[in-house]
Amino acid sequence: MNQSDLIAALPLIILAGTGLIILLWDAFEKTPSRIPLYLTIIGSGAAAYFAAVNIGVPSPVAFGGLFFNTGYSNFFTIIFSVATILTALLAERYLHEEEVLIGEFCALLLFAASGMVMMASGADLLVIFLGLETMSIAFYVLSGLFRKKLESNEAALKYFLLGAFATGFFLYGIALIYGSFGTMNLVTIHNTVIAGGDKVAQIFGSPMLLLGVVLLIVGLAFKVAAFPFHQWAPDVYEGAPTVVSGYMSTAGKAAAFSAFVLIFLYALIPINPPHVGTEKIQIILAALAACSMLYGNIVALSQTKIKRMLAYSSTAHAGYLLLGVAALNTAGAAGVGIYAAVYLLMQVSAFGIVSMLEKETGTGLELNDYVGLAKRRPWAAFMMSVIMLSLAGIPPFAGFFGKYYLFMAAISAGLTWLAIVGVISSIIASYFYLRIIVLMYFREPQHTDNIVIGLASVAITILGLMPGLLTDTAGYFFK
Amino acid sequence: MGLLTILILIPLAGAALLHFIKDAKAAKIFTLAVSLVAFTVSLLLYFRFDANIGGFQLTEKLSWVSTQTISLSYFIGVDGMSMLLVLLTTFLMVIALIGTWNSQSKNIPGLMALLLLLEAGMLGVFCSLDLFLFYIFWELILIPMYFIIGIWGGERRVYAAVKFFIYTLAGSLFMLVAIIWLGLQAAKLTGIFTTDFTALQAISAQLPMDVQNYLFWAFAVSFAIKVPLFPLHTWLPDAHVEAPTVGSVILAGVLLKMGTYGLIRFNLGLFPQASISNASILSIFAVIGIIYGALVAMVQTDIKKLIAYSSVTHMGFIVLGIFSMTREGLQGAVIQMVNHGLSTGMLFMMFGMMYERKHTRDIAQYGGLAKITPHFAVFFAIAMLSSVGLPGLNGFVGEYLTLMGAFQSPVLHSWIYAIISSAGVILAAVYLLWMYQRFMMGPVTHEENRHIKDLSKREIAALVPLVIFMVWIGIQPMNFMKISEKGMNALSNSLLGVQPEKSNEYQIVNPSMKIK
Repeated sequence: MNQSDLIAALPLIILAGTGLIILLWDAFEKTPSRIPLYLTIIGSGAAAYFAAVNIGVPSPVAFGGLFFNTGYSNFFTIIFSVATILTALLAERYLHEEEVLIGEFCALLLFAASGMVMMASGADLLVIFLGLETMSIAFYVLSGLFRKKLESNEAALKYFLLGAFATGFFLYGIALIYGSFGTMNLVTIHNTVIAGGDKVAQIFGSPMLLLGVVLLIVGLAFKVAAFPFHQWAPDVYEGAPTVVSGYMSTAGKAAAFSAFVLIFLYALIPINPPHVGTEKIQIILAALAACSMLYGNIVALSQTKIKRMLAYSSTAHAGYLLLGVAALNTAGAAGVGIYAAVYLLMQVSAFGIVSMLEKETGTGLELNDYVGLAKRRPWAAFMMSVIMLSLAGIPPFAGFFGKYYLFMAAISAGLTWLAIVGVISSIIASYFYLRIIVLMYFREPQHTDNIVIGLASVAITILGLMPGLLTDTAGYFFK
Repeated sequence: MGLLTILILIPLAGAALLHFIKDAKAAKIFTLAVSLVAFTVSLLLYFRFDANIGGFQLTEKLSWVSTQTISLSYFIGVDGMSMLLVLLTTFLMVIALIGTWNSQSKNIPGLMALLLLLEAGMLGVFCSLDLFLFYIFWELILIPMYFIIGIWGGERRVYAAVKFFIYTLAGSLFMLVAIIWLGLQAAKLTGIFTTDFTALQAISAQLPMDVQNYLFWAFAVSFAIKVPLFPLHTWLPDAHVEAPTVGSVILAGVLLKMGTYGLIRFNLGLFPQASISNASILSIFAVIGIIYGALVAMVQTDIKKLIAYSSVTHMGFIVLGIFSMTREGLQGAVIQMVNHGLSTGMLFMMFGMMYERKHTRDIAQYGGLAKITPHFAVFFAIAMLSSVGLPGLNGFVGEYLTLMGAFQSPVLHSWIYAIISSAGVILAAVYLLWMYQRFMMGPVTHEENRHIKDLSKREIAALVPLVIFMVWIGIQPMNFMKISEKGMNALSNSLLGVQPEKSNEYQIVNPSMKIK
């Protein structure tokens, strides 16, 4: 380990270190206070800062080829840190009212974030696996944070049992990839595939690799809640604390997608257009994307609880992101990065608004609780409208540009049919996003709100009007 | 910053500033002032515009998203057709605000902000020369209109608003796929993904015929929904009936023109061969729409619905004119867009005024009003006759030219379109005159109607400018038609393969219009 390794891993070290400090502080300090929250925000902010500094440092691989320090990994590190900050800010009042230990929550949040950073930076399948496990275990505990609530316990147990199972799939997949290539290192696999020749053709012709790839897809598809591995999501999102649901469905999803991109677009299929033998992989990914988009949006239509609706719509958004992966080109990778960032802003703020209204009206989680919101809380209703229109992909909001890039990647990869499926599912989706607006504004009901969501709504609009802010950086990252 | 950008920014800035105005009356005065400024700027724009030059003028171009492989730009400009529509937009906005001054009481600042947002979106649509930018403005319009119908609308407003939104979104998302696809085709040929209209126009002729066909239909369906062309018109009666008066006026007056504008600009402009080969299909739908709309209008008892169906008929004439691809047809389509905006906008606005007094849309509740409200009857008669297409008023010019275009069209190969559509003119006279008779003439059937007040000075002030333009276009159409003449002639020539003529000897056959 040398200095450049340390610099490369600095964001990770800061995140995990802050988590440990909070854990220690929590053990000795008995009076509840907000200090852990401030520490979390400072730590994540520092991690984001150093990740931003790291972009452009000419040492793409650290720790002897185990850890990436590329623009791509740092881009995602920034996304995770921002998600952590937003969640911590939103959690403050929410946790206080629900009487949850703040220290415990913050430490788990930071451990989850460090797991995500490992997933986005892993240059070795085992590092990705380690990150996946670190993140998942933190999530299992976080979703059961309301110890006295039955739904929360159920969510944690359900997530844990199914998650453990999915992890097994992922591990088997790694084993079979190792069997095919003789290595778990992504850089080595990348170089082997780039070199080409009979050996690669042979590997890609063998059922062992295909099986390994399918198992990896299953493991990751579970984490992103893509159809048909989404069944846990509605129950868990509904039962878990609302801010945690927001965090899991955005940062967790982004982390799994960063691993998707690393494994598929960087290591296994680095050439554009894809080499022979990858058609099956593309078809599997495309089918997953199509089914997730359609299923998620169609089922979301019939939900009456807002968290379940957002859960099913998150399956659909996983489908949009998979569309970028299935494109198997650099445009797809860029699209995934952009959409993950945009989706983070939208979904965290959506769950933030839900959590805000939840405590005020007691339960407040039914769609009907949003009737006439525009009268009661005009700003909350306005921000929710921006978020819903952005989720539906209506310009000039950022969600539209995210979708635009993903569709463009798919069409340029010759997957026009998949883009059309995406379009059709977007039309379906617009109905239930609009329904929220209908309830808030068009139905009569029988202060300045949270500044965080205000900022996120502003960001959604600004990124929509100036997509260059994201696309320029993304273009730089993926060069 | 050029004048066009300023024009688009004025209503946007106004909408933003309305956040700080809480008082209803102040909000209305402020909005009227903003729309008057916008109208003045559009007049300035018109004086800078030179109708003798073809192509786009007053263009402005700023790079928006630019990487090595993608180039999207803020590219705006006007040609004759868009100049006319820009003027129509800013003009109708002022008129609609004055005409519906007291019709709403709920959350006025919100309504005014949405109207200004709508105006900015419409101006953007007519000026965008980058397809991506066009798409953004196109979708931007959905949001304010959705809220205007949904919040200020009638009883079934939610149904109508959601139907309007999803119908339009469904069409436009396919257009989005087509825009991306077209951009990628450009990337194949030139190496840069671009959605610049002029750049795409240069390469689109090289596209294979089947690709052109797919793209043509993706655009055409999206525009046909907006027009609306039969059988995609079913959102229109609901939206019109449920929308508040000011929404109906803008919807009929300007929003529908976005569809026909798109057909001319993008379908004919980008895919000439595909347009020629599909012209007869779209014309058949247009003719069906003309007859169908007229027949359905005839049996309506709801006056707003009747006017809405008459829109289907009138827009059918415009589409027929467009796909005749002759100079007369295209010029007729453009002037008919303006005419329909004036006459149907006026009909909706006047009925809105009556609705404020009587609060019913059922025609049987009226009758004999000419005796009680003579001023109203006169103005309503003018609007109605303009809609019927009485010679001397504006509607005649447009319908005559579109029919003549369809008659001579070398693309449609048949005069049967023109013959059947002519029946639409007769039917229009039938349902509109009959409506007028039941609405205004005869004995007063309901005693309580005797207390209905005649037009106020404010209402007359809103209606007089509309009448002036109706008569002006009816008598001196060349004053307006020369604005778009150059562009439409060039388009027709390029479509039909005619050599451009040297002199500007475009004569209209009808003697009453032979004024130069």
